[in-house]
Amino acid sequence: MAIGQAEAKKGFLATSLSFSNCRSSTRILGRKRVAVSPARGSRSPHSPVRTLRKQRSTRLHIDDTISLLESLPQDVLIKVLCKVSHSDLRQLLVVSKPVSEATIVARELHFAFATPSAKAVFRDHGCGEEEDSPGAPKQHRVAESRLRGKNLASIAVNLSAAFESLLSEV
Amino acid sequence: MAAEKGEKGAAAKEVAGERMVTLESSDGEEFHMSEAAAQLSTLLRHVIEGGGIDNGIPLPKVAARTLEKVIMYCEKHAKAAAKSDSDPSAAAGSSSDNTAAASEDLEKWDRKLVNGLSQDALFDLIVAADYLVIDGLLDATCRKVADMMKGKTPDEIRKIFNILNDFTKEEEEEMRREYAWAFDD
Repeated sequence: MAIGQAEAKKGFLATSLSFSNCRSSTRILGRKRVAVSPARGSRSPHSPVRTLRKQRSTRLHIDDTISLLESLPQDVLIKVLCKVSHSDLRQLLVVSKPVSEATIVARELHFAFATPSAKAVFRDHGCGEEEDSPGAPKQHRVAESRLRGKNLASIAVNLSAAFESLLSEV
Repeated sequence: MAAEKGEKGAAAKEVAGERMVTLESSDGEEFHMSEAAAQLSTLLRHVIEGGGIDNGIPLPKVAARTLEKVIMYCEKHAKAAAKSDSDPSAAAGSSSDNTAAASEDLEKWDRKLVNGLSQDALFDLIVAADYLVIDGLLDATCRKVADMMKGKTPDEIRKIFNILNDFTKEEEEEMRREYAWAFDD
């Protein structure tokens, strides 16, 4: 029983347990949860309905459809979010966990933090940066002036610690 | 001239005085594009410089439909760059109006390209532009997605992109509390 549950946790659908937006019912078939939904009405021609393709991510949920946005490699998703305005980033923060993670990183890059070399997502460049320099991306906004003169390399990777140090300077 | 061609490899053939490269999409379809246009892709540029691509460049990660759009973009931008390079008045610096209008036209063209895509095709193009390292195209496509998110609530965003909310109510509250202030400016 315990093994079955543990395996179910690793399964595609078992990760998404809160179906607050889901109008369909779920059923447990064997170890996996399978969503059974009523036949959908007409979708707009631009809706992202697509059956699962093996080369994309395993983020499966209702109707076996995937979110193309969430299927993007994380570094590409971050690049997309770098183009999003700050007020829109706030909304993205609570859309879903994967999007939230990418949003936080995109915001971090906006603030020109030093990027830790260990992370794969920072392999090429951050928001708005073109050169190969390992340093922080260019700062475009006057509001970031509080960071000037600060040793960017010393800012911790730990997000809340980093933001807290910002707060204490206000 | 023959020696020069030999150095670059047989895939860079000349057609009507313009050097062409052959690309093969993931589904085995062959495409031709001018070498000038291929230069817009950092990846292709390196492959061409490396030489040894006698039978064309295979792109197993790029489907035909997407590759078509990539080539359209690159040819358009390569032509525009060539035009502004060869424009004598641009060199003299006296036609800033012309160059501004030309770049505005190019932007309009880019927007038209991305606006005409289904969400499916748009994301395929983003991935291709990222893989081929075509900055301008990645820029234009990502901006389109950002536009689609503009002014939308989380729920609207989920609907548009078919995203499942995997936050519990409590987790969502915590996220808002912990990070919302960091986004104030």
